[in-house]
Formats: sequence, C-alpha cells, structure tokens
Amino acid sequence: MSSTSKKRRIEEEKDPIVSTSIENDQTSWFDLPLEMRENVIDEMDPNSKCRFTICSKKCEDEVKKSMDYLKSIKITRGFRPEIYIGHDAFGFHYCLEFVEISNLSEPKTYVFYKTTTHPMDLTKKTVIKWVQEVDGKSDHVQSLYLNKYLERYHKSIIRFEFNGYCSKFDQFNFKMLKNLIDIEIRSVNDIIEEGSMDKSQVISANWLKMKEENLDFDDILKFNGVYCKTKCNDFDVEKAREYLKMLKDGRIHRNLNYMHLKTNLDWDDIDLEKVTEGLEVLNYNQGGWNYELYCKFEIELENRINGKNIAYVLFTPQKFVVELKL
Amino acid sequence: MTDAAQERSIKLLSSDNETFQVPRNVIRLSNTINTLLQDLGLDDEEDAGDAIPVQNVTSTILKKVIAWCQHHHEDPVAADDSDSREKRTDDISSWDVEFLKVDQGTLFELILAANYLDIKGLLDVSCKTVANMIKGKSPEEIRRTFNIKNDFTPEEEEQIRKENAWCED
Repeated sequence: MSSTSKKRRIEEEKDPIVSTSIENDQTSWFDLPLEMRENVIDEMDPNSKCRFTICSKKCEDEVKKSMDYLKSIKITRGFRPEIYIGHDAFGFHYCLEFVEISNLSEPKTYVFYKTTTHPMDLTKKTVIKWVQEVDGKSDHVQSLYLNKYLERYHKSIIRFEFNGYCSKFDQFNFKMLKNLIDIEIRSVNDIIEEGSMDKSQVISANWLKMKEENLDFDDILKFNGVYCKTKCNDFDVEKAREYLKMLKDGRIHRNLNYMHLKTNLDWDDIDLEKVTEGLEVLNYNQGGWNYELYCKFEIELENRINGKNIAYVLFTPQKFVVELKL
Repeated sequence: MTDAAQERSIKLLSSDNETFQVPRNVIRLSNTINTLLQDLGLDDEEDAGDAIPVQNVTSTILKKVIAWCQHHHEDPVAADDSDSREKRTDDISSWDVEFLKVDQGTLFELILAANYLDIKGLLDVSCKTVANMIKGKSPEEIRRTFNIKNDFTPEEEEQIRKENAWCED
C-alpha cells in the first residue's frame, strides 16, 4: 500500500471530508500531508489563496495557518515615524498609520490577525485589526487606520503591484512617494459651520517645503481632495489663494468675518478679544471617514478705521487623525 | 566527493521491491540519500553495498523521480532564498511541464516522494504545478478538482465570499 493510501486510510477514520473522497475514489486535497498542503498554499497566488479559502472551513484554516507560518507581516518604518509598511502573507503591501501608539519606537513584527479584504477595499471601509504577540500570547492591540494620504500612497503601491512591480518598492518613484507623504495639507471641509466659511482649507507647514520643491499648488489641492464630490466640489483655487495666506513659519493666515465667527461658532463663551489662542478639535465626517483636526489657533483682531473688526485666525495644525470605523 | 564516487552507481530499492541502479551524481539531488550515505560512511566507498530501501516510494514513482533527477542533475544549484524570493508559478520549464502532465494521484505521490527524498527542485516544481491547477478556478471548480467538501453553512459561505469578494473580480 502506498504511503498516500495509508494516509488516506488513517485520515478516513477521522476526517469526513477525506472519507468522501475515498468513496469517490478520487484523489483529495487532503491526501497530501499538511506540510505539503502548506507548501502548495505557499505557492498559490493571492487570488488562488482567496478562492481556495472559500472552498471549505478546513481550507480556510489552512490558508490562515499558512499565514501564521509565514510569520505574518513585518512592519518596518516608513518615511515618517508614524508610518509603517507591512507586507502580508497574501503578498500585498500595506501602509499603516499607527494612531495613538506612543510607545512604538522600534520596528516590530505583528501577527497578521485577519484581513482577507482586498487592500483596494481598505480605502473604502476597513479598519484592519492587528494582533501583537506579547510573550507568545496574542494580545489584541488596536486598530490601525489608513489615512487619506496613505490611502493614496497605498493605491499607488497596489497599482504598481498589479503591474508586476510587487515588492520592488525601491523602483517606485521615491521622490514622488516621499512628497505625497510629506504633504501635510489637511483638507477639512466645513470645519467651521457652513456659512461662516464657505471654503475651508487648513494647510500646514510642509506646504512651504513643498513649494520649495516646486510642486504646483493646484496639484497639491487636487491631491488633498479639494476637488472631491462634496460641498467643496466647486472649490476655486484662485479664491483660495485670496483668503489663504501662508506665513513663513507655516501657519495659515486667514481672513475671517469677525461677526460671523462670533455668532456662528460655538465659541460664544469665548471673548475673542481676550482669548487670543487655544486648541480646537475640529471634527468632520464624510463618507464614513471621521476626521479630527487638532489645531492651535491664534486670533488677531484688527480695528479698522471704519469701525469694523477684522479677525485673523492663525491655525497651526497640531495633529490630524483620520479614522474609518467598522 | 571523489571523481570515482561521482562515477559510481547507487542501488535504490522501491517499496514494491524493485531495484534501480542510479548514478551517484544523479541521485546527489536527494539530500536524504546524501545524508544517509555520509552517515554510513559510504559516500566515498567504491561499492555502497546493498540497495538502499526507499520504503515510502513505489517503483512507478521512483522511476519518475530518477528520470527527473537524470534531467536536472547538471542544473546549477539554486540559492536557498525561499523566504525572500518572489513567488512565481509561471517559471516551470517546458520539460517539467511535460514531465508533470500526470494524473493527480501520481502528482501527489511525486510530491510525497520528493519530500521524503528531500529533492527540493522536484518538490518545488510539483507543488507549483498543484498551485497552478488552482489558478483561475472558481471555488466550485477547486472543490471538484480536489474533492473538497463544502462544509460552510450558507450563512458562513456568504460571509466568507463577502470577505473575499475581491478575488472574484
């Protein structure tokens, strides 16, 4: 009796799936020892792996095991401290931003917990769950969020991946990639109640840096979703240039209608003439994405001769969090 | 290994008691045989003595394994970079493609034999061939090909299909 037949006989007694195959006198996937099945799974392309996952629970488990076997993903530092690049068992790259992880100072290996969702879909809906192995035990740490910029970065990588440049990360246009990440223009629409500021843009210090690198302002705005299908759809770049001024220190200088500011914002209890600075968390939600912009603001008032008060608000973005909840 | 050792032959005994005379430099692709000969101090011996029993491999499969080794024994040794290499299944040589055009049972037995004899090249190429059998197939086709019983409940199947919807593109 061949080893395969022997194995069949052994497994037949304990595995109803194999038992069916014997009745049909047809070679079954499970005639192969687990180690060999893992070898084959390891050779499968991502599509095959996913289709195979759908075949049966046992197949699903084996694909997952094969992921564990591959030691899941190695997350390494990206170009900014909070950006990490993962490479998962399916062979896809992920770009991740750790939100609220303060103690992650070194690259670590995270166990790939579960995301069978295609990376392209991550841009739409998914928060990836990750598990960190602590002393050999799996300990759920937290969700990681792809932010809007990483999303684009991510797409770029995926596009390259589908063009057959998978894992040839250094072939990517490095400068462009770095630029995309470094841009910290934060497009936050309607952060101030609608009507007070019809178009709101918050731009951070790196804008100047980008300007030095001769990136076109229009391109930057496009990149940052200014032309997205929302209320800012009709955004006029020229108009933006009129009311947005970049100071040399990177702050944004914006003209505000003082009265509008005072009456339309929830700052009624703030005496703008006395309080000249503070921290404001601006929330915005769009298409399932939650944006939080932590801005330090400084208000400067100017009394015009005609008696009208003109306010200048200087926003300095401190922190920007984009999250997409399940 | 001396030149004389390379020119000599090794006898292999299949599980169904058929003996095969194999040139030493051909069967060198089997790490199992290499280790065995070295451990027994027979690697440099003119006469390795009795046939080496290959208990887990039938004569039909052993014949094919030897044929594969015969064809590939002069291939350059590939670097062992299995962890870092790019996964590809389209790099199987045309000779191997023809060689592995066998029924599924034989293919599986070749995998087992390659694993037992520790012939990495044969193991890789046969596993790739099985992986290629899955390529482009729908889950239903994969189930039929490998006789896998669908044990998902309809709800579970719907869920897992949803999770894997992207691969249906």
